[in-house]
Amino acid sequence: MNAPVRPLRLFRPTLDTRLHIDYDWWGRNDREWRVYLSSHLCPEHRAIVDTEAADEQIDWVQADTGEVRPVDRVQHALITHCSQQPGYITPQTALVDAVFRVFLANGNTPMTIRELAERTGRPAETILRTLGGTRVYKGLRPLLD
Amino acid sequence: MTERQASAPSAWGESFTITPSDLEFINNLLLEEGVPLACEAMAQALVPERLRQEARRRANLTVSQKIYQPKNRYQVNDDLVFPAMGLARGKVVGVRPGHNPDLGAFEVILVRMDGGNREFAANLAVHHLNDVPLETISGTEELSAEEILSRWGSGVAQTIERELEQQEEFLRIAGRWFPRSLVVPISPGHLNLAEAVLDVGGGGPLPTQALLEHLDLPVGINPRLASFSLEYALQEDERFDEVGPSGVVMWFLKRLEPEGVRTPPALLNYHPIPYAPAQLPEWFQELEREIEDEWGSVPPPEQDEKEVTLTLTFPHWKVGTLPLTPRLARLFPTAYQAPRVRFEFQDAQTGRAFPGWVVRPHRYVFGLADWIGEKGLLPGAYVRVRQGQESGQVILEAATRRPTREWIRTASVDGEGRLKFTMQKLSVGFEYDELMVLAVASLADVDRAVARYAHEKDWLLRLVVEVFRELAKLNPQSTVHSRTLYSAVNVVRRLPPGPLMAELASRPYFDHVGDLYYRFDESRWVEAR
Repeated sequence: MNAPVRPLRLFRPTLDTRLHIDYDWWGRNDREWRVYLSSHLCPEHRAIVDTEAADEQIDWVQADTGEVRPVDRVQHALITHCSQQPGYITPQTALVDAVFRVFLANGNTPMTIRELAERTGRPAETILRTLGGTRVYKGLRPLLD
Repeated sequence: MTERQASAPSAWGESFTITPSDLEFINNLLLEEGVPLACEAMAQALVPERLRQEARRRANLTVSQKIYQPKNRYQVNDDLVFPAMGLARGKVVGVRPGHNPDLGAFEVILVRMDGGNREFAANLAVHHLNDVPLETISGTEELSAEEILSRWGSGVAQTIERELEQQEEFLRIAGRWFPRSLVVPISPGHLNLAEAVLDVGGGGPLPTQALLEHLDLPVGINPRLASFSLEYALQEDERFDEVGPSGVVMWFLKRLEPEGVRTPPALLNYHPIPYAPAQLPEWFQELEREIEDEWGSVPPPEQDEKEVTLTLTFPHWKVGTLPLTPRLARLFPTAYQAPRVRFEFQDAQTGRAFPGWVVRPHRYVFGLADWIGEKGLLPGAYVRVRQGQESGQVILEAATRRPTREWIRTASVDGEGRLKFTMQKLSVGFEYDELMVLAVASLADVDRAVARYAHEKDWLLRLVVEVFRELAKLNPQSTVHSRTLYSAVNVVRRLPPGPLMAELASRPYFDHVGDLYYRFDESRWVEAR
């Protein structure tokens, strides 16, 4: 999430372009971010969004590499609990929400559009058309390596 | 081995050898464990170590580079390799406490990598990467440690065993090894105490722990090491005998062991007689299988049997033993090293338990004298042997039946010490091999015959001819079955079927008339004389 983001002019995303959540995009409106975030939480954890503890930084350890990423409690709950619940991503989940939930669950580790298609069960071309354009949905943006 | 890939099958088969670095690893393993280990346990540690070395070699790792695993602790300036990140390298530049209520205490290391600084968990007990075998880091492994151990584990363990036997710095007790230098000293006083404890217990058998309880060894010694050290001291002292089955250490006072265990009964002693197997008739193997002599050459069965029926022969009947044939050996407890193994017999009919001894070097099982007497068995009786429910227990069953009076071949000894045979009507209450059954008129007389043939120059020739001619008188056809001859000859001299049949095959006066029966040709005998 700290990776540099360059202007998208002169850049044409492909199926192999990696996307991520650009938290800076959300940074302008914290209230809106929290409301949206809480919509992805399970009922058990929804209450913590508006508490002080929500901002507590936790060292989340990635299962596949051992890498540590500092995340707040809300994200930690999402990664370690809510995203593991059945129904977290279903065919009925809106495409943008589904992609967003994938990144919430993996600690915002950038993924290619092909990989996102596999994880969400949506056509890669549709994801490319939706998230590879000039309009930014929910902070989901291509990452320039 | 150094040029061969450790994960390749060819590295673990017959060509597997122990290198100096393997020995160093084993030594370190024993030092770290602080307790003796069996070679199987060493193989289980050595195989993954070899694969780790191979992985390091393939991954081109330097000696100073450490493979990252979350369970380990790292310090600033440690050079790390990250298998889960395509073998990316990095240097630790900082360490801080981790914070995650779900994980408990752990550390976070800051690592400088090509793409910038990244953080990783350390000193974290539970993590998926902790369980990933390091040998997989090269990503080209052909066989896992489990596969190698499954296919070649016993061979690797045997190779380790052979190598350790050559190394003076290692000691072995009951199949477990330990560095000699680390064994706790056991004083003569301790050993005297152990002797006293065994003496009070009727000689044994007692486990090492039962002896340790009476010894005042220094506190703070690892109990397993103390046990091993005492076992080593007892093993080196001639007063004590280790008599436990494989994996179990039990001690007995040698001087209180039965005489027939300490010294092989003379009747069972076989002094090998050279003969040419090529001379033997082609049906000899069939005869050997039927007789199943402990000094014969019948190979072990491919599969274990639950029950073995054997025919009691005169020497074993007289001294109260069973032959430790390849088939029977599978039913009795065995040992890694102990030449004598003490166990328990149980009578199948009465349930009575009594001690038995496997005397491995001399191939017999001791302890049946009273049992044979109680059952009223004769040589030639069938005895059924099977393993008991409890480990180390062996069930004995005599094939007894309602007694009837039957004609039985009976051996006696004439005034010159020659063996004679007649048919006598005796009460018999057991099933038996009709060709091998016999009775003995006087055991004291048999001893005279034993002494006579022992001093004969051509004892084999004389014994076989004299016994054959005696047996031939007992039936109208004057024929003698090979099994009958074997049974009768063994009354005075221990003789397996090989040299006996070689004698028959090489003498012109013995005619094979079929079905393992022979006839004695008097005219040829006269010519030969």
